[in-house]
Amino acid sequence: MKLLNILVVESSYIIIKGLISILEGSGRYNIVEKLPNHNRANDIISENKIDLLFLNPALLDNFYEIISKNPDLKIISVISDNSKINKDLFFDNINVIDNKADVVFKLENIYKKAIENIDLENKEISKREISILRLVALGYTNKEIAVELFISPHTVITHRKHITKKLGIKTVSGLTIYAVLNNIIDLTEAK
Amino acid sequence: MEFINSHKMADIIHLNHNLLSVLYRFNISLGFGEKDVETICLENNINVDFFLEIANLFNDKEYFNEKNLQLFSAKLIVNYLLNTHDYYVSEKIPEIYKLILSLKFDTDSERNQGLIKNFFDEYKKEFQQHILREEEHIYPYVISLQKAVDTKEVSKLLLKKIKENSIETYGVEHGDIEEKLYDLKNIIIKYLPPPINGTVSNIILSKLFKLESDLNQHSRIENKVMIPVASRMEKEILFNLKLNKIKIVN
Repeated sequence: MKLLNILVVESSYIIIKGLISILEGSGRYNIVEKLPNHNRANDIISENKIDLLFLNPALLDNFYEIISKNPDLKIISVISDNSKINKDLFFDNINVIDNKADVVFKLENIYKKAIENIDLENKEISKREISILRLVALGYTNKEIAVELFISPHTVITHRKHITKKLGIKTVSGLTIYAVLNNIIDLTEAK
Repeated sequence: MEFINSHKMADIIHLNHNLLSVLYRFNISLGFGEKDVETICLENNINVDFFLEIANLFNDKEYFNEKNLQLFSAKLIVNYLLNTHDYYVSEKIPEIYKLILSLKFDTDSERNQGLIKNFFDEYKKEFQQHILREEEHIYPYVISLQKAVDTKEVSKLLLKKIKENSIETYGVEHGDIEEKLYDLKNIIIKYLPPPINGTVSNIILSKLFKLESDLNQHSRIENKVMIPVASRMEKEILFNLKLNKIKIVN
């Protein structure tokens, strides 16, 4: 089972304790950090691979900055007062007055929805991606790869993003090592 | 728990041995006996408050208190950053490199070893270039700002730099070396065949994880402490110039 990395931003001690015990009980989440306010939220999100942010919406005034910097981050609002918030802004919403059945059901759904988006990482790389990886490892630029394989440079970039996500390797030198280890290129071909 | 000046230095290390790397940076040797933090710092000519601020930061990530750290002089902060560079270059990187050279594999041993070695060589090179840029350009600039503030004299050259290349435009870039470190971990965890001497790759990995979190602290201090401190001095110099409280010299 894939563990999702969680950041919790909430000032209420009771809510934070409760939320964390529910999340930890499910065995599906790794609580990276819990914060009483948003001050370090941006740092933690950029330093760690955070999948889900559980957030008291009243605590985050630089909400839009966080969204624009982390388009993939899924934010779940934890609503604890009567203030009206725009629920559509969030991946999902949990209210502290929800009963057990509601919370369990919502968390189940949140996990399913989140994992669908992340599932790409669990897939093997495709034949097409291997042919692109081969050229990357041989030192071709995106443009040269596009010409060689009769596809647009934009498509090359999309493939490369997928390759990096699936393999967990970001640099060209790293990809080259992967290609040699898996006999996609020969060491004598590599620069 | 927060460390204070009356704690015994030996107790602090017992509580968190990761602080040994902090001692290295402050050039403090072991053999404390029963001496407390304040005495050890005095003996070693170290600002106690600054030492405690850093030790607490290493002990508890959540402790990070940029406002407190920004109160210290630029010289103190830059000196600490320089010592941290030295810790990486003289200690950590050679340690990991030596371990990498000792990896042995069942099949294709030479090839696999060569791949990892070359990768780490590249990483080392980029790391050194990065450090060099900071040590030759950014840190001296910050120090010269401090000097201008203290002496109330600013050189024409420095003034030009403040106006055209302020500290904010430098930004502290770590992107590529961070990515390489991330890749190296994944290559060892996921893709490299297990070496004959299996424990070596475990040791390498734990050292890489430690180095990574140390580097994160380091860039946090650069971005959240050094840059704001420098930026404040830039503004102070420009402001005092308008009030004629600072002289332009050649």
